[in-house]
Amino acid sequence: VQNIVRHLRVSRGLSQAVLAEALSVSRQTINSIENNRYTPSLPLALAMGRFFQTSVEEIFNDNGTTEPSSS
Amino acid sequence: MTTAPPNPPAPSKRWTSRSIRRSRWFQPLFAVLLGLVVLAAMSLGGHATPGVIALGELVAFGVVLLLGGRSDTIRGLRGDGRDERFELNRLKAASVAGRVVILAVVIAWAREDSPLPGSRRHQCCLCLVTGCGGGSRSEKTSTQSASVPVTASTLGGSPLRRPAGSSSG
Repeated sequence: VQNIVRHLRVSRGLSQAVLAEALSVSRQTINSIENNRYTPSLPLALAMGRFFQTSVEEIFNDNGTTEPSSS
Repeated sequence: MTTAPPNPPAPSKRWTSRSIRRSRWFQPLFAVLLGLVVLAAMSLGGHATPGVIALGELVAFGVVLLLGGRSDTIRGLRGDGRDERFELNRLKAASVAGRVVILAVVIAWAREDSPLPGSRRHQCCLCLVTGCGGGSRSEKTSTQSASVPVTASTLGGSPLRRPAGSSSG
C-alpha cells in the first residue's frame, strides 16, 4: 500500500517527531509508514486522515490490488 | 430533537496489569528481579559466581532501560513508548520465541535417553516438523483469505445492514 504521508507532512512543514507526537505513535512508526515498510492500523489511518483533514483513500493507495471483483 | 451525545467516561485511574506493564519502572525492576532469581538458582546449584555475573548483566540491562529514555526503541522495549507497530513486533517476537522454546524442548526430549519406544520418537519428529511449519501455513492461509475480496455481492448480494426505514423488498 503506497501513501503520501511524507508529502503531506513536508508540505505542512512538520517533522516526523511532531507528527508522531500528534498521532501518539513513535517517530520510527511514522518513518516506517512513509517508507512503506509498515501499513498502519485502521484507527491510525483514520487519525491521519483527521490530522491532515483529508480522506484515508487520498492518503493511502493500494493501486487497485484490493479492488472488489465483480464475480 | 437531537440530544447531545453523553460524555465519554473518564479514564480509569486504577492500576491495571496493562498500565503496570507499560510503566517505565516495570521492565527495569523485572530485570533486577530476574537477576536475583538467577542468582538464587545458581547459588543453590553451587555456581554463585556466574550468578553474580548474570545479576550484574541484568541490572545493567535494567539501568539502560531506565535511563535510555530518549531512544524510541528503548522506550518501546520499556513499555511506555509502545505503539501499535511495536506491539505487532512484540507479538511476532513472542511467536518466534515460543517456537524456539518448543523446538528446544522437543529436540531435548528426542535426544534424551528416554524409555519411550522408537515410534514415539517418530511422533516427536512429526510434532517438530508440524510445529515449525504451522506458522507459515497459517500465514499463507490468512494471506489467501485476505486476497479474496469480500463484497456485498459475495455476501449474498445484500448489504449487511440496511438503513433504518428502508424496506427489505
